[in-house]
Amino acid sequence: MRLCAPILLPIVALLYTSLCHAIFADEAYQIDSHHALLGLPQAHTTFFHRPSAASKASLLYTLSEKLVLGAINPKDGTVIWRQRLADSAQNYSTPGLLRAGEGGDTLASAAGGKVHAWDATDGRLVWEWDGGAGTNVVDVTPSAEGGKYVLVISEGESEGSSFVIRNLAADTGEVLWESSDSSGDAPYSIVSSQDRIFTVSLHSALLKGLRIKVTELAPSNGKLIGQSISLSSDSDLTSEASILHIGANSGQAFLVWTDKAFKTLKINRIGTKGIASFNVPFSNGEAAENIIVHAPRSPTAHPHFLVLYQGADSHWAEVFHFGTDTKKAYDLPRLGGKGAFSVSSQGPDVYFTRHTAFENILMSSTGPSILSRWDVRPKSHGGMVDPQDISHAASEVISRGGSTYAVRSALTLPSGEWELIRNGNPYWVRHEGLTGAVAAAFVELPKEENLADELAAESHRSVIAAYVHRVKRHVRDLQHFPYWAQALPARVLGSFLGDKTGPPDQSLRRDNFGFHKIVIVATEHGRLAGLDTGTQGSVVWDVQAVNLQAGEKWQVLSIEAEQNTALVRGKGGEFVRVKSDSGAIVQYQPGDLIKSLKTSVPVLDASGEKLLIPVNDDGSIGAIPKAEFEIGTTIVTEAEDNVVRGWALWRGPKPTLVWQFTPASGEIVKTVTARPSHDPVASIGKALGDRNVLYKYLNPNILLITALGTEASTATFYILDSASGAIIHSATHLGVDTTLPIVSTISENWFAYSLFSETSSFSQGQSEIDQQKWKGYQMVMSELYESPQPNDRGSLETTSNYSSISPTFAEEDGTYDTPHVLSQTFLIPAPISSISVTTTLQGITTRSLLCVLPDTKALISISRAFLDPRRPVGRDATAAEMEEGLFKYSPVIEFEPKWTLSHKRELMSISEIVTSPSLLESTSLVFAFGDIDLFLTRVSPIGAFDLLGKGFGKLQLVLTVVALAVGTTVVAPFVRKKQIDGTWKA
Amino acid sequence: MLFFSSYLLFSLLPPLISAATLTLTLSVPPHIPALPPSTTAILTTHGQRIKAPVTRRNTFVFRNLTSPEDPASLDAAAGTTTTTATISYLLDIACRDYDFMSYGVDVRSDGVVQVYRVSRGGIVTGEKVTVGEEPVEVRVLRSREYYEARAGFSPLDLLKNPMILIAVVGLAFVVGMPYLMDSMDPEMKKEFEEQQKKSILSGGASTANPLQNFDMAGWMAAKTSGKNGETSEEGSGRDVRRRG
Repeated sequence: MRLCAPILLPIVALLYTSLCHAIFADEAYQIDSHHALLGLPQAHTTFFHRPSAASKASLLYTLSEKLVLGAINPKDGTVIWRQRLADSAQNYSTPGLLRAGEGGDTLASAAGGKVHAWDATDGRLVWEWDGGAGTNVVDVTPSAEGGKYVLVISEGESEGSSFVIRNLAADTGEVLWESSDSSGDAPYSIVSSQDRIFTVSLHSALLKGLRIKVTELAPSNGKLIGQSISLSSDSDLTSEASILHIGANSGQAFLVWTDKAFKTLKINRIGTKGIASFNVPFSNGEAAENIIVHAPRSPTAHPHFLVLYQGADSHWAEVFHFGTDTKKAYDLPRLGGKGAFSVSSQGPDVYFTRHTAFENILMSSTGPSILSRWDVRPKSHGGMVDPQDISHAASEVISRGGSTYAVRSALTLPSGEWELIRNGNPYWVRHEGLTGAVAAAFVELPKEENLADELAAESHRSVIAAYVHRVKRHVRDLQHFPYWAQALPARVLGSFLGDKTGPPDQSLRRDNFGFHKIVIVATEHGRLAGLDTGTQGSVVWDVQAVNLQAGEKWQVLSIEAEQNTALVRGKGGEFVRVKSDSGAIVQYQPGDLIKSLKTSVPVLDASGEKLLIPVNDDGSIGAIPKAEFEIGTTIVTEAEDNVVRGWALWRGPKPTLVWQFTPASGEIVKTVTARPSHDPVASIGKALGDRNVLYKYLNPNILLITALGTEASTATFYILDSASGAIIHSATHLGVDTTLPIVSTISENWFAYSLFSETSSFSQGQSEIDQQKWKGYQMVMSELYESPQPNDRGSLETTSNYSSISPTFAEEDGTYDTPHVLSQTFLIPAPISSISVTTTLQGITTRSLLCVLPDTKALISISRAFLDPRRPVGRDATAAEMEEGLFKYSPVIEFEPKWTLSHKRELMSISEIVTSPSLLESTSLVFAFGDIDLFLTRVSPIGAFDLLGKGFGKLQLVLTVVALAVGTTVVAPFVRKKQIDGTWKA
Repeated sequence: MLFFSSYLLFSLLPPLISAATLTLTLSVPPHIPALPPSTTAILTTHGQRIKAPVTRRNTFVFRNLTSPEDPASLDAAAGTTTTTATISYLLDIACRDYDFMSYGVDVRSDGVVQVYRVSRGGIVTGEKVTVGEEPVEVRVLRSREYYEARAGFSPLDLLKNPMILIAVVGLAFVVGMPYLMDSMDPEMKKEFEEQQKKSILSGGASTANPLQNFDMAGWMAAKTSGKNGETSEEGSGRDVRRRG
């Protein structure tokens, strides 16, 4: 046996390298696809801007409603850089601010109490100003004079003052001066115009309404200049929302507001008392329901602005020239639909672009003549984008001399698409509506001809009928022959001359390997989308499944694949059935009937169909749908009172409470996890190096319950038998930071979890006798076996009767028969925010753990072989152990870059992973989704052993065979001659 | 790195403000090119996690690090203790392109910030360095390699195979030997042939089983005649001796 060791070592080394199975350079970006999203762009934070004064081309910047700041290349719609201003876990209520100073190379953003300046070219931080908790930044303005300063107005910092104005150096973020106001007014904005600084605040008038108060500050030290001006706006201004525009960055600062009923428009030059008043025009008797002001951002542009009036189903506009006497320049005619305008300036010239469902119209601010006009294709990008109504637009106009203009506009559609149109032609589209994904599932493509069904039909007929059926089928198949024969040469040639097999198969047909599926994603906006795994995760359909109230988020319980359709169940009891290949809604059932329930759990009935059982707030079960259940079906419910309950269905519709689980006092139940529904076990035992077998504890009813003690900083993991409610195993960790992610997964006969803990252990070192603190992220892996001895099935072996109700009382004397649990802890370098397991068809392939690393924005796959709790501790592995693939335990596991499935892609705010088996045993499909990004890939935990890789050269194989054949033919006459000669000589 | 000079004054004065704010600046070695904008330095301790994104100067700036309350102030009346309270953070730098060394950061109640190297688990392995005005340089361990190169087909790799090498050398001998023999001058050839005959591995008839042409009579004679027979019957006598 000792002799074997040197021979086995290279095998183990080989195995070890196969464990670190990485992505091949030629497969990266081919087998995986990534939707790097930003979220829906907001109207006030989306614009074209030159990243620096030296750059020729401008980029498209936005701060989305998800508070993701990003720069988009307008040429192809790819993300150049992005930053998230809020942690995904954090709740944010602020829409955020984004400002760019003309000619500067930075962008200033604000969210909550923080102001950041970013390098506009590469998105790296320039400086950060943090007002601390409780602060809210109301406005940020780069100063007009050369962009040297950034003015910040914030509230809520200290009790004495109502708001504080700070002047920060644009390059370092150093606070040059600050000035606080204790008048008790609500801050609204800060305006930098030419070389003057004004603060605009709102003062509650005596009776009702708000008075606008404008105060001037000295740019050098922030001291008040003169008296503040109070505008008599209280008669019409009732809320902040009625202030339509504040020309903060233009050469001429002006203020536009309206009354609640949209009757009059009031315009004031900031720093003066005069108010110009205009009546809001009616159009065909239709009153305005919304007013939007579009004014250029550049200080050098003419002070011209456009006022858009939106009616119920039409829109019209007026252009004003602002000056000493503000006057209306011209009217724009009424057009149907919602329509959107955007403003762009080049030098002093101001252009307005009108976007409707059918055309783009370019106008100059000086006169009503149309400079250019383009028809818009009514539907673009495969019919997916329908610009019926446009939420808002940003555009850039470039005058090419004379009367030719180039216009590109980024249109935000209510469906969540963000489309760039250049001179009326669709350029690219980004599916920003796919942010906020709440559920996803892999769905098989519909079968077009099911051979199995046909054969089954034949076997049930008489011989003659079956024969006729078969002949018919073959004749029918013949119609595919010409196409097949036509494609054959190209296919053969393609497979020999490299990996290029022509354009990817666009049709939604199943492939031989089971890689081609549809991923259905449900988003919190109530939308459903289908992603094609065959064509790099492209969006094949995108529909609004449910209509939600403003601010409401769709909570989805599950997405289940059915024959040709998918069933999406909402938490409120509603469900939507869609066709998986087209997204057509087949059935919709609102869930208004059952309002008071907390959640609902899916339960399988006797025929295997999933039914939803409503669960009330207190953990009790509501009305059970009429169906045949197997006797003893157990339903586990979580309740708000922190008790996990098990209910069993006996004869009759009423479930009976079987057991209750309450965690230790001070602990709250965080998650209850069962084994995945598709969790095949290839072997009931583990073959050891000495040919003995260690039997796995395989219980289909085990639950993993995570309970957190937030006060005592503990985390306890319970393994529960859901049939009996018995606790099979529990482990408590002390010093756990419960604010950091604690994630767990359970599969087969093992479970794993990760947490951050800080524990004290007394070390006996010579110098440091005092306690040593261990601090870090840990991953704990535990395996359950029937018995610690090999070839022993514990008490199960001799038991003829087995009760799943009391499985732990196997012995008559009441001794517990609990599985043998092996655990090992590993220190890991980074937190894990989500954990999942690969699934393959038969479960033969060693499973890998899929972990989301939020810090490096990566998705990694850790082979279970590294986390094996049976790794020998404190000694080298014996030859027998090496044969099993075990190697010496080391407490630290570093995440190798080669384990990263997302390789150089950065996955922002991923929170969940779903996996699906392919038809190849080696390969599992993986889809990761979350608040922002979507990522799709496939993983072979121990290498693609059943698939020829791209490294396999078919051409080389053929050449080798040909060379051998030629060699044999050439050598044959010589050999024959020699043989004959030899015979004669002998 | 740490602009703490002004805070040093705080430590001398009685702590009027219980939590002074400190700044820690980290820099990366100058040979490292611009890090991707997603790079973040993270300070972690129980219940607290502070992030600092990379700046355009390739640095990380932690502002508003709060130092813990000085225990000395609490029992200043008693005048007993001289110890300072410390918050220890783990410092990790999450980067797409590079792996950085792990550090620990101690923020003490007297306004001193110390940086030291740690192993996983937060065990101090390096000297605690008090942060001065200069930024602390963090060391890069390695650049991150995500991809595996595919072992391509190369005829040279095939030739490097030891089996192929042995076969090639053998073939060269078989093919080359007759030519080598031909090119030898007659005397040398004769000598060589002689040697080959002597060697056990000599070709031709001698490779055949030596038992086949075993000289039984000679052997018998040698047995009886002793040493004399051995010298006279050289060829067969050698065979016999080997056998014996």
